[in-house]
Amino acid sequence: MGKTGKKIKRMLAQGHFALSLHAAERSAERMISESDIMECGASAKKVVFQEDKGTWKVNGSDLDGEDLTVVCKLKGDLLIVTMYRKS
Amino acid sequence: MALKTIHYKISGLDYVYVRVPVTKDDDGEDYIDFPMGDIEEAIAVALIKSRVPLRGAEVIFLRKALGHTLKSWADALGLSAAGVLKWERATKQRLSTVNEAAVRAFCAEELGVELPGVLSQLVGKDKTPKRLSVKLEDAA
Repeated sequence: MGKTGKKIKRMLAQGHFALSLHAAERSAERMISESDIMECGASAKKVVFQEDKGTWKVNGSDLDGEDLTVVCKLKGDLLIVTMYRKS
Repeated sequence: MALKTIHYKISGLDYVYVRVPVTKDDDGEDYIDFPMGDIEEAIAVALIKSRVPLRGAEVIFLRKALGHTLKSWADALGLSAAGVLKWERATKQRLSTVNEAAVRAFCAEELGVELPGVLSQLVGKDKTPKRLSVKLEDAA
């Protein structure tokens, strides 16, 4: 994991992120809390940059140990674009 | 920055609407300019104070909003994690009166909300609301 990946992991784990309106209102997943996202950051083993979208994909697990993926943008602040669980 | 009332579906509770400050990023995407944890706290306080009936969906929201794992929540209430999971999986099934009173009292204590210590005030109203409008200043 590169330097930026580690930075994103740390920001998520510390709760330093903002939620997009899309993620709050139209996310396919229901009941994902701040604690789940922080745990996803803390537990993530993989943070991958998606060049075509300009976003970072963070694979970790939620508060209950279930797989959770957080997709975010880093432009100074960390903005969460969407989140989903493994189907 | 503008204030906007949004349908906060990520909570898992279809009836929750929150008025939040919204800002655009450099790409023109709207984002909520307020900490997610504080929004969850305001919703949790509203659920407790408004005596919303507690079903599995409310239990999972409250547990996670208060940052509890299944085990820590179950331990705090003197239950098994399997028992709590059973509540949570029945998202539309209301808890028994005694369990609802215990969960509401526990959440009130964790959130610093004062409630009358009488059963009728610890148990929710008859029906789940069609809409619960939450103000961010409701956070304790």
